[in-house]
Amino acid sequence: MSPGLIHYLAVSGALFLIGLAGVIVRRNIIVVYMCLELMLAAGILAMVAFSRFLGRADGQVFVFFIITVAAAEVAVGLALIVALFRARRTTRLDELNTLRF
Amino acid sequence: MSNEFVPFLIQMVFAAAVPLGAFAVALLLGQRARTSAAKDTPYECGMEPRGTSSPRFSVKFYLVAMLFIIFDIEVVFFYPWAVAFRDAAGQSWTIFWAMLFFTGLVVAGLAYEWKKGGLDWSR
Amino acid sequence: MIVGLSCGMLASSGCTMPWWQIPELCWLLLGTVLLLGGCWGPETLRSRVAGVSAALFGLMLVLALFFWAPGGEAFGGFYRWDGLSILFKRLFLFGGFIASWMMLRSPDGPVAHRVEYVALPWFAVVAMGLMASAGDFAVLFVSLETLTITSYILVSMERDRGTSLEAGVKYLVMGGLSAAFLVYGIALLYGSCGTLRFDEMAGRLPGALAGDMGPVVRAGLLCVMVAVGFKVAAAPFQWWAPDVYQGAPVPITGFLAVASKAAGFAVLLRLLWGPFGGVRDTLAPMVAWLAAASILVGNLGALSQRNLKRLMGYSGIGHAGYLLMGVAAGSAAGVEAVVYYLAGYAVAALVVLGLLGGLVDRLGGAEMRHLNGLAKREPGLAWLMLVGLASLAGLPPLAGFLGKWMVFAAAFQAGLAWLVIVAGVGVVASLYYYLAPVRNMFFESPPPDAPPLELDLPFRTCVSILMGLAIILGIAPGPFMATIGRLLAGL
Repeated sequence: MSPGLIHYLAVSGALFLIGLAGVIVRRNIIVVYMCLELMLAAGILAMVAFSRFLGRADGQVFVFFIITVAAAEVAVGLALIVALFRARRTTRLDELNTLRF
Repeated sequence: MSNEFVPFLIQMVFAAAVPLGAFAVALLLGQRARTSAAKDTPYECGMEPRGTSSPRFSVKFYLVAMLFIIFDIEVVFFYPWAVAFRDAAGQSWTIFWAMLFFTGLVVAGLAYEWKKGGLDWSR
Repeated sequence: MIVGLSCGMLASSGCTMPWWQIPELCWLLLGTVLLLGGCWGPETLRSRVAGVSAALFGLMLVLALFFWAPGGEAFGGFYRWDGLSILFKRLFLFGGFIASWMMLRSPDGPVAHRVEYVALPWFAVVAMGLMASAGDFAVLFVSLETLTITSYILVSMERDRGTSLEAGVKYLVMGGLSAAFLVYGIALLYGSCGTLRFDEMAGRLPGALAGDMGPVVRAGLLCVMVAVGFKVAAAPFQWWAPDVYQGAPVPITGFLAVASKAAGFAVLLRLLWGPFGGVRDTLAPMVAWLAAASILVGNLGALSQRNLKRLMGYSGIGHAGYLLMGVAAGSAAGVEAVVYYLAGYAVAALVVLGLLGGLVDRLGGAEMRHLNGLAKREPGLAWLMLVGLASLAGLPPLAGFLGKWMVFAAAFQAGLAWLVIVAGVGVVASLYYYLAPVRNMFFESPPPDAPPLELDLPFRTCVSILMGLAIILGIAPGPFMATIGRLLAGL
């Protein structure tokens, strides 16, 4: 038995849910951000699997674009987190509470 | 299940058995370790450790790595373009001018980060 | 940092509209020139880069208003040049124009980053334009994320103020979540329909929904709608909006409230009247529930706010709810009402936020109490603010009233009477919180040692023109509605 489409989708769905759970449960911004990347990776995996089993290349080309966007987002995101750490000496989401009434 | 996965399965079993076996032998044959404050220090009979065990390293490394990754991924787009170029250029030169435009933007980004000191290691 | 912007334009083949004629490329070049000119150029240019940007935005807006005609596509259908995209592009340029105008007024803001502050709205407008014109999910994703990433930077531009950075990081987490949902949704739809093209998907989606892949299609649609819900700040995906609106610099708050929200709705309309056209009846109840939740959460949440920027954040959620009502109606009248409402909301919100942006340094803050006695200090400005707030609350004869009327009518005709009742509750609540600052302005006495409020003439003119637009749109909507009807005829 070679792995079929359903196996790839199961892995990708599990990755997505693990990432989502991490975003909800974890309180460290960097860990949350890594979980977001995990969710993106899940989407990419599903995209590549579909592309392979549909026999079309456009999905894989789209994956290039997703990766590029993710890299740009990580660059900006980490820059923001570093700047925030310098200003507040914290990387915990629940300590970001000045914007509350 | 087809046979092609059997070697893989055997390897998994081995991979699990070796460390588990080592633990089991140690539990069966070994002495119980004495615990004391001195035993728990990183260097039992050496100097006292100072500072943190995970030192921060300069944010410069991060900056350079990030800039590298961004430009690296921009350049990835040249590969499918190069593959398609010969066929597409035979019909129209649009593909050429479009890529020239894209390259111009990448160079503009490089000029910007140069001016902003992103490439200045000693700063 | 922003070199990824040009992605999405690379797929080129035979096109009815030459690719170099699409306006986004021109805007992209202008933004790049501003950015590099501000870095390398002579000192005289660098100090005036905000003024140059505002003038260029004005020029582009004039070109867009008088010279654009719909018809055609570029990049073999990846880029659509139709009435819907033209209407929204005008709105985006308008938002960019007013935002850069407001930047002129705050020279003691984030001085160290002036060039980026001025150039990034251009890249954001490019991204919004591509979103409104997208003919393919790849273009949609790349442009939407380009907008989101530029917004992170713009929101956290005032790094000295801790709240700005905090808002940026919160936006970052929410935006990342939305991106992940969008990617996963697109992947599922791609897998079940076998295409990323809007026009091809429109034909295949109903069949896929009814077939074996039904659950996959449902999950994909749900993920994409969640992502769009984040973008338009619809409840229950609205958490980020109040924090981001409060933390961002005021011009950026205005830009996000007007242009970014409009871009979200451009995508929603583009999807529901494009690839999701065949399953619109399946999605309409979901949109209606989003609308009801947004109206209640936004308007009730705004009741207890004392900060005007945060109040605009909550009320913006409520306005997203009213707009979603027009979308849920699913009729041509509903879409026309949405576009009109967006224009009216843009004008009124920019009156309020523009005044706030001009005054916030002099007043000492954006809390309600800082407005105390404004009518005694500067009667003209107080009346301008009053008109803006009244239009947002939906009082006749202003644009806000007519917009709400048209949206409610469209929803009622579509059989959504319950939604109209919910919206009525929202309107009553909004009267209370929109009129609270009026009490501060007109019936409280100013602080004893209040300095004079210096507001230069161009700024006053700009806000006055905006107020005039709010009144004209409300009294004589005829020509405007005719334009909307003409441009949306082929939808």
